[in-house]
Amino acid sequence: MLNVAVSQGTDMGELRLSCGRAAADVAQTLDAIEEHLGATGTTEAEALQLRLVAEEIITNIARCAWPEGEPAQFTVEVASAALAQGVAVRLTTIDNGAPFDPTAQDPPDMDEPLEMRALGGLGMFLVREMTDRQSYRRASGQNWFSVERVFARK
Amino acid sequence: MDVTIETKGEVLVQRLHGRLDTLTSPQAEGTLTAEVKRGKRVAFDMNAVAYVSSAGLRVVLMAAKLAKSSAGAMVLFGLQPAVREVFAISGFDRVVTIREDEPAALAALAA
Repeated sequence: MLNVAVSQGTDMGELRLSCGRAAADVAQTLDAIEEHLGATGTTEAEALQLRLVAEEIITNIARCAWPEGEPAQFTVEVASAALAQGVAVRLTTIDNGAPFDPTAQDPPDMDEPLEMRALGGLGMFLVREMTDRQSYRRASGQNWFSVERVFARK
Repeated sequence: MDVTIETKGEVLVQRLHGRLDTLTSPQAEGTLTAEVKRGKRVAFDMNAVAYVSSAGLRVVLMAAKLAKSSAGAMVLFGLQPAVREVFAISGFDRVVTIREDEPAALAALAA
């Protein structure tokens, strides 16, 4: 069912970026995504929600997909489409790092007391909860991860 | 991320301005944990924070843990709806004390 909403709508533009691993590269990519979304019919609040999703995914790739210190580039794509029911946005990342399926991560244990709650491991859980659809595949030695979110309009 | 500090009796109010994300959290970590680490009673004013990612949640959780282990106390107030949602999704609203506004936060810290 991947990409259904975006492919069925009226194309509102696509953004394709190459991102490096440095924090400055990641920040620049996130700024570009937020700016692009602002120009494709999402509200400021919606663009910020998707920036958060993008931050979690992209930061994780930049930090963890390759051994520390190894330079690498990966691809980030954002596609938007106007649907009858709202604005659909799809974010896709493609990297040739270590195989990693973000959809296969365990959710955090919400019932743990403060002392026990882990400091990490929340990013991919936020991604899952803040998007409508997630899809992962490993192909041609690359991780392909897509998330999709439809923002309803009256 | 800028943080200004006000003293209100026994309580410190740390007012955060800006985004708490991957880029700003490493620096914010020092500022936001310094007082709770010393056992102070601290209220974090979140009114001017429009964005908190998992990197920011991590700093908040760290501050809450330090407050507890140092016999201090920590309360957040003035969370914007989008930020509040991130706290709810992550379940942090169950382990961190959150109040609507400053008077409620100060009251919680006085209790």
